[in-house]
Amino acid sequence: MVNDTPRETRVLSAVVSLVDRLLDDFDVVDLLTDLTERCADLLDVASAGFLLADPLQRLHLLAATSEQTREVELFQLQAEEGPCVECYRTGQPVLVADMRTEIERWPQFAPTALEAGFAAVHAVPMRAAGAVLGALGLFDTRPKELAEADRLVGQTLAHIACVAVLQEHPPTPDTVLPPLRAALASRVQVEQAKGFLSEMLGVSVAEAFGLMRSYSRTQGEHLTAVARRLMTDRHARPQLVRAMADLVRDGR
Amino acid sequence: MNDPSSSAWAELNALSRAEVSQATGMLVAQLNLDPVEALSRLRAHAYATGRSATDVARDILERRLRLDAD
Repeated sequence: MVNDTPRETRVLSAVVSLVDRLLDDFDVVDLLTDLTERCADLLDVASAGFLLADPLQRLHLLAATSEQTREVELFQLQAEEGPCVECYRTGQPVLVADMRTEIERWPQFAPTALEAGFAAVHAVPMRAAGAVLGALGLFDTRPKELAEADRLVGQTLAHIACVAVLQEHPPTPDTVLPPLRAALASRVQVEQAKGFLSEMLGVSVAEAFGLMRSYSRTQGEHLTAVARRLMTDRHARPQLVRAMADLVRDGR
Repeated sequence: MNDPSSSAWAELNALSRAEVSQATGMLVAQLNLDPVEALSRLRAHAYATGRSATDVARDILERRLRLDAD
């Protein structure tokens, strides 16, 4: 494809338009099909497809650039063996620059891919909530490494696909208000907690905020949850204040 | 709450200034109050002295003003 626009701009414009669609009414299959087309274009591969696992951990093809039978069959075969299923099982990218060297590794998949004209096959994981949901498969007709920058672009598009899949209902004017209000209310609690800690520990409001953030990171507790506990849970307060006083002492 | 013109939103807007929330938190620590009580003390003081909640909040934050326990 002849395209004079710098790649960085094309990547960012794809990300902007895809995230933009997530913020409005969208159809998941339609959006994921678009995503596979963007992948093929941006990563200069011949074909791309999203495979998603069912509760029994079997992979299913959700969307692909092409409806051509040979490719669809290849993706379906990926449910048994090959880069996508390996990527799904390990949660790690599986990058195969030359399928001809992998016949022993995948005795069924490798010959079929080569016969179908695909020499390089890569897979990056779709992850959420600490679990692997599936994989994005990339097929190329020439033997070729996937550059690190390309892998990152592929991973970004796979993350967007995860958000699209997990967003049960596209936002509507009615559904945006409650989370918006919750975000604002959380911010009020965070500000209150800053003032509270500043008074309790004799530090500035900015320092109090820094302490709360360090505490929440080291404890793996959300910042807004720490603030809420400080402001609404009298029993939790003394222990929280002590823990943050310790942070002040350690930091000095 | 889904009605953007409801008074709850206007209220939230007026009181969601960072200074007001931070001063509320300081009052919670100083007077051992709930945040809701602390905020109403702050607002009552603003009303009684004819000043805005934000002005009073700034004085509390700068430690120029200390409200008494009841």
